[in-house]
Amino acid sequence: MAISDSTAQRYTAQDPDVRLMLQVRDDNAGAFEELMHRYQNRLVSLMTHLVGKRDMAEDLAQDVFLRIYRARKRYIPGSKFSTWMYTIANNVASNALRGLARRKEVNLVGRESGEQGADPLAAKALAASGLMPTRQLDKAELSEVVKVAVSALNERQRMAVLLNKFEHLSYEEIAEVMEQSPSAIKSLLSRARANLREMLEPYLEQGVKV
Amino acid sequence: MNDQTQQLERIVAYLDGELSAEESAQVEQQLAADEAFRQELQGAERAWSALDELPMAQVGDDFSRTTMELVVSAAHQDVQARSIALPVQQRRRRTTTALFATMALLLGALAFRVLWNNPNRRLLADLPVIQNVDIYSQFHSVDFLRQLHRLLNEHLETSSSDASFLQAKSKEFRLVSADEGREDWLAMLPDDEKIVLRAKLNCFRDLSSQRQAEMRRVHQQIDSADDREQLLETMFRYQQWLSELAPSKQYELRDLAAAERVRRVTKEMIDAASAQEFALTSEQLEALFRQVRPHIEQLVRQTRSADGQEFSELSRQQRRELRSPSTPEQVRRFLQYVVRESPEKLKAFSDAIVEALPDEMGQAFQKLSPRQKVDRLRDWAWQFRLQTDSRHRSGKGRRPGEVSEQELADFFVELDSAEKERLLALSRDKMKQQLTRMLLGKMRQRGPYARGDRPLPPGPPRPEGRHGRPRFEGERDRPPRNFQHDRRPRRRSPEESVPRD
Repeated sequence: MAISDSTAQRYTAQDPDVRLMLQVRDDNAGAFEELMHRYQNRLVSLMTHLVGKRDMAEDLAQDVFLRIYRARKRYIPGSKFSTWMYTIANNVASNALRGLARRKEVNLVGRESGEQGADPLAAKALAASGLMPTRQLDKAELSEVVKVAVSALNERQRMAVLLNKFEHLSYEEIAEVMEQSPSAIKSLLSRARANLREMLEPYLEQGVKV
Repeated sequence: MNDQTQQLERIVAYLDGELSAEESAQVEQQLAADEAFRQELQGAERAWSALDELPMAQVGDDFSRTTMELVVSAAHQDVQARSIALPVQQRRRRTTTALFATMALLLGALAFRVLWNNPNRRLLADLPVIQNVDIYSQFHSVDFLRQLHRLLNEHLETSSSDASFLQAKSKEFRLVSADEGREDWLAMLPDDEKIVLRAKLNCFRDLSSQRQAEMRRVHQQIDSADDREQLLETMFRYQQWLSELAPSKQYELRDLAAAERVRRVTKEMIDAASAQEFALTSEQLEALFRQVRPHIEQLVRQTRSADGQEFSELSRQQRRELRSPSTPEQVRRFLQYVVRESPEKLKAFSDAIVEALPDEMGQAFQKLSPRQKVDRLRDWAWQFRLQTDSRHRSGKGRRPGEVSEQELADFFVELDSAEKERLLALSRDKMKQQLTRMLLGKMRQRGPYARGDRPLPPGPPRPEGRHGRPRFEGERDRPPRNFQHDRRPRRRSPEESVPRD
């Protein structure tokens, strides 16, 4: 879709990262480095939660940065920079997860099908972890439980949750990243939250050791 | 969609701030009235808050380095792809330069990341020096600034716009120099300035440890001096002026001994201020020379008729030149001679000049000494000549201030590697724009003979000069007197380029 001049001007005025990206478009290497510095931790975190493997997440994050660099000459600010970057990240992660599925290297709980409910494997994984909901967990244990619960969401729910919770993207922005309608994202997020609650509630009811 | 799903979506959208004001009010009413609804919302919120426990990744330097390596490699491939259509020699040159620039970028990235992510004590302590590394590379001792201050104060007033700039720079210097404010200053730095600072860090790291130590000492001396404000004013004034000069000129100045450099810098800063004070538009220049030319021609005629008496002590060539001065420099020498012999002769055309100038400029011109007046006229003559030369060439589509791609390419080749790198980091349009500005500035500084800084190519001998006057001996075979052969800075190591104060 063509991006109007006024849209480009608006995003350029509002978003400092868009301005940096425009400098990258003009071959300013320092600006690219600054953008990378700003987003590298967030992007690697996102990818780690999406694919479940840190080394693979770093590879994918590098791939995203490389794609950004290669796409610099075509860049026109039609959204916030982060929205544009996460769109690329979403494509990169989806491709990687498809590749993993083909090679049957599905990570602990990642699954492609089923929109409703948490993965039954997740419950098994939580049970196998020895972290029983009948006792109070310490922070590290809770962190592990949450990690397993998030990875039990399907790929789309997981992406929407991570973008909403950690990147503070609005429904509209998540919709743009995931190429869906905002109402579809609203449903997706409510199902994701219901699933998370279902998995985490038993643990949260016991409280956390301080 | 069932009621339960709808209710959940409302709750989630409410928590995410995605409802309209009206819808939010409805949710809040229901929350107040419905205990089950409230528990549902609290449960959703609790699970959502638990996500805060997810661990966040912190990448190491390895990640940054390998990412930059990938980007450098992509940039290299880009350059190769773009250069493939160029002739072999150009291709080699461009590829080498791009490689050099990308490698510098890579190294810079690594160095800077250390400062940025984990500002250790040494690097943080060096921040004031890094911030001023450009200007600190120009001198070795605070005495240089003191001498410069004394001379500049005698001859040059600070304009109000300069004063506010200098105050802002001094304030920044104090802020960065204070131990307690340094980290905050770094954190608050705008994006553009962060990028500039990154380049400065790279420059600083390229210096030897000895030179770095020397810069630290100079910084310390300035910061603790009783006359710190004066020193800062002078330093930033000098820096501002220096930044307008071509890199070759900057090298030339740095090569001079301290005392000579102070003298040259003062003179050139005064000249620059004067040039600014007496800047004329092309129309004003034309009007000026329409007014002045008859007076000069009359003086030349008078002098010719008195030949034999007035020029008796001069050499044959000097006499010839004074009889029919054609270049601005010859006109200047002619007028200088005339003024020296009979100062009253200057008055007629001095009045003509004042009449042609805008009021304020005319008054300023009247205050100049006879020698300064003649020098000023020479400078205007150069500008006028440059302007008319450009117009003559514009018969082939050239406008004043325009330079050809070939001239730009030739000029670019002569720049030092740091300047090339800086330009290569810009977009093509910006690079061309800056290169053109630098070249025009250089041409204005040296006059039309200075194009390309190279001797004129040996052409076929001409029996007559341009205006039918006899050709001076060797005139075509050697550049004019003020032309300097091969003043291009040779490549040297950072240490070698440091002047000895």
